[in-house]
Amino acid sequence: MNHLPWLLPAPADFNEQCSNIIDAEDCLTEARKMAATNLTLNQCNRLIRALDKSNFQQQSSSLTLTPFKLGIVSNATFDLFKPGLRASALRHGILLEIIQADFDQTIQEALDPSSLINTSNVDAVLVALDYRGYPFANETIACTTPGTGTSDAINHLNQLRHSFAQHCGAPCILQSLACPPFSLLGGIDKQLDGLINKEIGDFNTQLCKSLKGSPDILLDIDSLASSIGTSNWFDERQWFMSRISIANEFIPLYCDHVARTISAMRGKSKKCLVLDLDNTLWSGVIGDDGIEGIHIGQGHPLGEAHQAIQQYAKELKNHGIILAICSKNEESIALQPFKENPDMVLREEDIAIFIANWNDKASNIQHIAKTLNIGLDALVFIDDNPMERDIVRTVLPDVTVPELPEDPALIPRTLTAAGFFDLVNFTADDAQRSEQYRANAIRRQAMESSGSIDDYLTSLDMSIEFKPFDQIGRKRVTQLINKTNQFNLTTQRYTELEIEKFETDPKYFTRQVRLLDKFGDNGMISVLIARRENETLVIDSWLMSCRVIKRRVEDALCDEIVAAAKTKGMQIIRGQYIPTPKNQLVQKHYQQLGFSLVDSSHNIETWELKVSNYQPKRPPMNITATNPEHAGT
Amino acid sequence: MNTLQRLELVFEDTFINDSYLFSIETTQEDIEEWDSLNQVRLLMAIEQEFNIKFALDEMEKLTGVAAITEIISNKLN
Repeated sequence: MNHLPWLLPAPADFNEQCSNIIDAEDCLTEARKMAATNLTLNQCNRLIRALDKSNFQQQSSSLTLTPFKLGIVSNATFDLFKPGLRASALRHGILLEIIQADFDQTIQEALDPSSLINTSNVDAVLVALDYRGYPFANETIACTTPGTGTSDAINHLNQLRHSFAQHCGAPCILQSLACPPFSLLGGIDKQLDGLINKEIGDFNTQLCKSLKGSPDILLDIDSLASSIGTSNWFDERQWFMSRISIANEFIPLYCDHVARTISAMRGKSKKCLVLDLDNTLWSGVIGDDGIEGIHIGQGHPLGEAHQAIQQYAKELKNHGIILAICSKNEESIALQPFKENPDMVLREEDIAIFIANWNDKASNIQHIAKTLNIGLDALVFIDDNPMERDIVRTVLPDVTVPELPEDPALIPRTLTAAGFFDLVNFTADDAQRSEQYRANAIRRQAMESSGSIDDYLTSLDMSIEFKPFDQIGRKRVTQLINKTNQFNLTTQRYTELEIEKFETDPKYFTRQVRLLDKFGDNGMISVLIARRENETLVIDSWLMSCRVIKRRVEDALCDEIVAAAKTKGMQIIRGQYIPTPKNQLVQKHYQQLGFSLVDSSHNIETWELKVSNYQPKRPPMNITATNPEHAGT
Repeated sequence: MNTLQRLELVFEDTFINDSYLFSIETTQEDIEEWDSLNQVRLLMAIEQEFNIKFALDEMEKLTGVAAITEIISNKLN
């Protein structure tokens, strides 16, 4: 039974390919290719063993993976899951290291400040408890610690969360609870205190409520198990025999969900859905069947199925996912249904980039990524034609191309099950994102047709807003800090808890920067963290979203920093450039702002600016909401 | 492929170190990697390959190829 149908099947010579990894020149890339297929737990085990035998750590891979250290506590046997987790993480671009607490030592691990997890500097703690790990009241359903129900369970959970927050500072990934398929008295169970159906339901509701304003993250096992069917998800024999909490055929699916959660935490969720047209968004081929011959919705079974795909795409767009079209058609013919067919759910204004021509799709998709200024690895490409999918996979291995069921009725559920766009945080900025990218694409085209750069910038009517870090902006600040790689001078990562501390630490000078222009609100696009060291203002972090490059935002921020430093009597501003494979872009950042290089030992460049010598740059934008009292805060 | 041949592939899939000899007489003692954790993985892989489920009392008996093959054949018939 295939529970990850969007993945290609594992290659027939999998075992042999694994042995070849050990001596490969670029082991990580080879391993990642194999991890992208649908692996059984045994295959995951074999792959990870081969990777560990190789010397991938000494090689310089063409692949850049994001490292992540995950602490794990569980009330169940977890050893079996580890290769599955590492392989799934590889699939999502994460190099995972696992720090596992001893079996069923969850509370002890949290409370003891010297425990393994609390002293290992983990990036997150996965609290892999199922209902049997909480003190619910009902002892007859194999609970180990009888309590008095939901409130005991919630207190247990809170004790864990607070202890980990206090002792290791990392957020917790908390599992909602799947409800075992035991009903004592049928439908009345949900209304009777002390019965597991009601207790777990109340627990999950309270857990979800408590996440607002918390850095902790939900892993929704309740929904996952429901989608599988809880009578399938649970396997009593495995629990009684070896304390394994999930039926073994779903373990790879569970691992993929953990991996995609981590990937979302690191800002690696996919950002753009590229759609084919014929037999994807409508039934039929517009070039052959004409506008009257294609079917969308309204009583035609296939038409309804394709309309549902459009509805899914539209809903994604309403939540910030960028939509692009890539079709082999005459452009005017491809646009016809968008303009004329009343049953179309998607319209031209929903599409950021519309490409219909006779070029190969791989080139078109590259153009889409370039125009949107996002990586190929942020794209998902949907096409009903297996040949087109194959070509794009081969030419552009960074683009995600899911396998699709032949029956279009099953496409929306396959895509949502794959979780490409899953997020762990959703801010107002996220919802606006697709509009912003669309507006940006228009701006780029405007730029291509305008005269000088400064004329163009002036024509944008930009307004820039500077504020110190605050509670409202905290999540977005944390998001930017953790996912910005290119325009990032020092790539310092901070958790939400650490960001919160900067808000009130008098030694720190922080700024969140918002940019508006005549096309719309770009939202928060730059973050600065600096600290006072006597008369020097030392810049710890300077980062910016690539969407607003070449708008002179950094010039405006530099003016702001210097103005603030002057008010507080600081003489020198110091910044560092720590090179990484991804931030070559900012090599000349400080030089261009007028700083001087004072040190370049150990591959780190230190630059300084004398405040007294500084000439403000005054780029063409309106400065708003810089509270003069804040300048120097 | 008969049951024994399919079982041999499952063993190959489960135990990475292939220095043991696979035959109807092979037992847990013959394979170094065959500890309690790998026993669980082996049984899971067998259940998936043959599309069967072992009962609790059967699981403890499955410590050799002969016993495993017999129980599989019973379930398939």
